[in-house]
Amino acid sequence: MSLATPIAECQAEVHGRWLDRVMASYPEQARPFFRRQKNRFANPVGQTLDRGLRLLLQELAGESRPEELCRHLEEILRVRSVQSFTPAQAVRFLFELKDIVREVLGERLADRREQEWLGRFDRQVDQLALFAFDIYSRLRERMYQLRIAEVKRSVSTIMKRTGYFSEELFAKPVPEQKTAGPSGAPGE
Amino acid sequence: MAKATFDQMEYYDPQQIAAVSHRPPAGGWMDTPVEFRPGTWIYPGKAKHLEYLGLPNPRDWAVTDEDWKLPDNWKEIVLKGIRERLDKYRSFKVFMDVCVRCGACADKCHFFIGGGDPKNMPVLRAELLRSVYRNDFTTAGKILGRLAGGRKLTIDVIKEWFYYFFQCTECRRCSVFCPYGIDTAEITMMARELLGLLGIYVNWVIEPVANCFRTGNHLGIQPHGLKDTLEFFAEDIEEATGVKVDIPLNKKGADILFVTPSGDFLADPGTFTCMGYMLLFHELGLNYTWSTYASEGGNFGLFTSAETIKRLNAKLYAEAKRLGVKWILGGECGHMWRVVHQYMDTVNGPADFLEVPRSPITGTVFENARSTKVVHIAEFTADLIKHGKLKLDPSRNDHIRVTFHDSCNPARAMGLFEEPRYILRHVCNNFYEMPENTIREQTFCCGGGAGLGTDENMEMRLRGGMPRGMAVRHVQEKYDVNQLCAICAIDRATLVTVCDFWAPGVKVTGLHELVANAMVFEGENERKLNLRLEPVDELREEAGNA
Repeated sequence: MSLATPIAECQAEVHGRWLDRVMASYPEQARPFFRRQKNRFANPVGQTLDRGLRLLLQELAGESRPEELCRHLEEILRVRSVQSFTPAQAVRFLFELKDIVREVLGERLADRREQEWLGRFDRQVDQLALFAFDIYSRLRERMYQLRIAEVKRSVSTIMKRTGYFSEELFAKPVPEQKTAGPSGAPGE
Repeated sequence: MAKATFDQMEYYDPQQIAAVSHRPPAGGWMDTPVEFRPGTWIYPGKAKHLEYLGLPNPRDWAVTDEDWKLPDNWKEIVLKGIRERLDKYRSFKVFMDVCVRCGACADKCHFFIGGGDPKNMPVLRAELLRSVYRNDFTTAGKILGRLAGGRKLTIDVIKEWFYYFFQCTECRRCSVFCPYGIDTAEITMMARELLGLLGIYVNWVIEPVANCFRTGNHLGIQPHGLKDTLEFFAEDIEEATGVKVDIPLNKKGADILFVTPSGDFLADPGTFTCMGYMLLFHELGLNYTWSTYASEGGNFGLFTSAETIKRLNAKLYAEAKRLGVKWILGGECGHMWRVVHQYMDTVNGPADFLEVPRSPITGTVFENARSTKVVHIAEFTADLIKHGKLKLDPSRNDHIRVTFHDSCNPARAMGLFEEPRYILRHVCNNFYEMPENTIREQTFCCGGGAGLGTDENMEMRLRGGMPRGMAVRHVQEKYDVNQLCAICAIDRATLVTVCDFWAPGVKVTGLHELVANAMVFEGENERKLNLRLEPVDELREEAGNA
């Protein structure tokens, strides 16, 4: 399902407004830094969000491949999952895309064909939100897995000597779960 | 109005649930109380550890309690404490007065960069303390109060100090950018000392301090435990290399006392670095000794108070004197080197009874350690390599594509940039630097330094570790980097987690683990296993296929 029209024509504007909305979720004093510092190592949050939203939009305007959408979502959510948000706050920005598209396209959404497009677009955003739900939960779960692994690693010598040592836990990094794909999410 | 919590229906109001309001409250930052979000703060110090150390107000309490069980005259104690410190430390007085709030430091803290909380801007974090200083210790503040940037000391201010001064890893990245040279870590140190006067400590710091005071190391490993541990390492070393190393322990008359962070005795992957030291010293035939009494390189006193730094650090010199060694060699530790380089000489030196360190292998005199008599192992090993004293086969590490993380303290507190890199280039053929603004004096903290390396604040640590993690991810994508080398025990513990989250697939290693794996030993076996007892052939194959 391609959503190439009409979002493709106004990507830059949608991106700008979307980024504004996401930035509004951060403290006022941090926003100028997150927006203006362009070096991605000096400003990983701002640059990851800027780039992530742009790539998400590009993908939505193009082929809308679920695995690509998930990849870009994960980049954004990895950042937001360690910040002071509730789960709902962390993914709220996806739903805001619906409002932004309506604001930007405005009158151009008058005729029936565009209305149908908008209906498809809304469902696409809902799908994205489901992906986000999976990804966000997985990242938080991962944080707790890593916490457990670290505690065990901190006493690895004792565990080895008392026979509680498990190769799986210590020799390899905690396995990365498969990225939430379309098959894992309902609503397809 | 009290905010609804998870167990109340109002919390689920669809209009409110996802809303984030960061509009500053009417009164600005001074009136915004701290919200103790789980995952961002550290458990308080247990009464038994405070009692052991003779620290004030020992009691068991929880951060989430309304009442922190402070002494009745808590305010008087804190204000008196500030007065004493202003009189004692000129630096503290200057740092309180001289800041012009230019903001150069504002966006340099990894916690601010990762989360955007304005109170994590070093300037504002310092202002949490400075505002009280202005209110009670400056003429302008006494008369004008708020207008002069002063604020009254309240219980909420104490709670805010606890929250934010334990969100500073004392990494001193911000100080690099301060035009006045304000050492923000020292402001954090002062704030923590003041909290300590009320019995407010974090357990992850004060338990190791109590352990170290009792047993000689943070982890509380007793002499027989340390002996067992090193013997256990010797068995693994023999299995990996075929070399049987000896373990000189509390050996009187040794030339060198070797001290390393106790994390290397217990926690992977630091344990492999420890094996690396043992192999290196064995191969050199060094007349050295471990000590079960001075069995800790680190000094969590640095995160407690100046007195505690002194109490713990004194053991090093006392033991060096008792054993009659010539000088001290220090392992791959982080904050140990801030203590050695910037405080040791003042608090317990000069160590006149020791000799100026001279390498018995190369004859090099370490002039830089003339006063403290403590040499960093990276200086020692780099000197060995420079003089061709080590037989190295870097191709043994060819499956490793390594990057180097400058640990905050060796980098910014002692300027140790080149020696570890020099060693890395000689023991690995594939070494790649992270971006310039994330290494050397601009290096990013792991997010777990200065007593923050525990697990209950994992969200905060991963937030603070984000800038480092993103830079690791970059070299992973660009150069296929699969290992990160760090010369700090906290790094070796916490960066494993940071990498697993931000750059999964990158392992963490110590420098001397790589050195030992590349060294050719006399009488060695076929070296089919590395020090982790992993089959090297398989690792090569994996790396080849990657």
